[in-house]
Amino acid sequence: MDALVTTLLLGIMQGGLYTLVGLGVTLTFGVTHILNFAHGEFITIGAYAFVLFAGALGAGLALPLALVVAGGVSAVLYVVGFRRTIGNHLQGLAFSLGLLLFAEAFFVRTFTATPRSGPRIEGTVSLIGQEQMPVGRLVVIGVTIVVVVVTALAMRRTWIGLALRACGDDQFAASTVGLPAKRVGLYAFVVAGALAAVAGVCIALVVPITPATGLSFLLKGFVVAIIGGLGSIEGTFVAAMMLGLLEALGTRYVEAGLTNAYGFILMIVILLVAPAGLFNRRQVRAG
Amino acid sequence: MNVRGTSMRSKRTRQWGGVLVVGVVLFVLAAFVPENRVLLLNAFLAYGALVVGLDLLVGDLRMMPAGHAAFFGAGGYATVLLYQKAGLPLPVAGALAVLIVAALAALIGLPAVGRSSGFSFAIITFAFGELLIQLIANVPGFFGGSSGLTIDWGVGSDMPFDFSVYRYFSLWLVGVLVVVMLVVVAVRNSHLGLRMKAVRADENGTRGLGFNPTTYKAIAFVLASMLAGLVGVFWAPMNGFISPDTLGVNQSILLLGMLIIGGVGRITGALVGVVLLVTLPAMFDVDPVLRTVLVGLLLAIVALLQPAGIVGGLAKLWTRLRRPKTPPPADGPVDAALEPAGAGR
Repeated sequence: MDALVTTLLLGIMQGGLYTLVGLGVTLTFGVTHILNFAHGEFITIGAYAFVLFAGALGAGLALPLALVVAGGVSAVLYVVGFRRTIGNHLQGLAFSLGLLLFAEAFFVRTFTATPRSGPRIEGTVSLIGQEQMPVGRLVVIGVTIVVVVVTALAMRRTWIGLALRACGDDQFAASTVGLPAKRVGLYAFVVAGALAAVAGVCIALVVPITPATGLSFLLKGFVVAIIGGLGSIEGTFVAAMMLGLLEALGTRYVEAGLTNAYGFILMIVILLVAPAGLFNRRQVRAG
Repeated sequence: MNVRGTSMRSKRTRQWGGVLVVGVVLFVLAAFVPENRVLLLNAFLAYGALVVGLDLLVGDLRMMPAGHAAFFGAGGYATVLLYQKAGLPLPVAGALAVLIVAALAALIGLPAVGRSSGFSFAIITFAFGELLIQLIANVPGFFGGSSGLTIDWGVGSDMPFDFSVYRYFSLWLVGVLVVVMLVVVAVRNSHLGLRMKAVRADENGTRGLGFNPTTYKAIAFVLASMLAGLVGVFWAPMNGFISPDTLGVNQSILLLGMLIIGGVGRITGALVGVVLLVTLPAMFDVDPVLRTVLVGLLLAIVALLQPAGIVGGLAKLWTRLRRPKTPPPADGPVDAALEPAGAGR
């Protein structure tokens, strides 16, 4: 029983991180129809920027700087590259695959493959019974909840959110009212890059990071985006929580070595049952 | 026959003849290349066969599998396990391995190809490769774990003609590459190839013609995966060792990179890509991480500036130089792969 609470909290933390990544995937895909395999590198950039800046300037200043760096890189890549590939999804895919190879090897060369630790939040909190929960993980849960809620509100209430949703719903209609996909795509990439950076910072707070961190989280981001039905924010959130809890429970009670396999099996099963994903309003197939 | 008929036939003759010439040249090369270059040649042959086979999906159908190397690795692992654990003779093990890969591809292909395209296809094939790695890492007793499997034979004791193991399998790999090229040429010149071209051009339109695009995608996927498995069957005994790294996602992306940089839709494009990204870096001893950096950069740049690849770009240039006044032919086999879809998005 005590273990169950810890396991559930861990699952919620993972689910929150997956939500941040999956939201970025869903947003960029919804607006530009680009499957961005390089999205995970924004996580890595955010994490490394945070760790490096935290060492030099302190964690308080490092957080906004990490967001700015990742969002900025995302924006530059969009303007230079992804914008030209809109309308040709294989070209965009190839471009992002190239960026992925480049970035990962570049990080290995620059920072080496040895894991690096960021600043740690010390201390643990006692839960029911003997179980202890590190404060850092609770902080991560809190941060992800706040960011997801703010993002969801921003998508409903702000002008940029409206533009993103409009383009996701119907590109042509959005372009007739002055919201061309090529321009709104820039907002999507900046927001996605910043969300990925938040995920990267959170990851750096709880586990050591390597150049491969981004890719492993990106896979989960893809899985939750697909399960949730591409383009749906609620779907991404529900799918991410499902996946996080499934992984945590499976690791604890079934077989720890198969953690990464659960998500893929879940995805394949759900795609067999509901090819469009769980929350796809438009009744089209996922991708 | 009209002019178009003869030109079609001469094109077909040229393709078959080209495969024959390449096969003979490579065979001679495999027999006489200096001993310290045999492994380099083998890498070219294996990657060449993988990339040419991959082009059946990317070039002919605009499908982008992100887990092609998984089938290569599956073929290798199946061969080694059947040979070593089940005690089957190597040719039987190899033949069974290809069938196993076909079964795996059908298992993965039917949900991936039949239910979805684009995004989900890339992710599901991607996930399949990761699942295989998980499986291998979690059953170390049978699959050898993450450190891989070694094949227990001495280097070059009893090969015919006093060849080393590497040179002996070099000859076999030439055979594999020729078989793959023949299959690809045969498919492209067949009715199946014509239907695949129709699926690529307009998937819903082909439904109107009364045949099911999913069937052709599934056939191409299983075929291409079997070819990749075949390469693995010969690669693993040649290498004497196989590890999960060979079927990982980086390997799959590298294959896609070679194909796209070289040029999709034609065999020369695939082979040029392999020479540029595998053979040249190995000849000049480029550090593997640096090579990956360069490959990634090149892939991003080529994808952005010349989606038809280097060979495709040169072919376009050649057409323009030869016939300066007329517009380039609209239905070339080259540029279709990365051009915008005709229907849908």
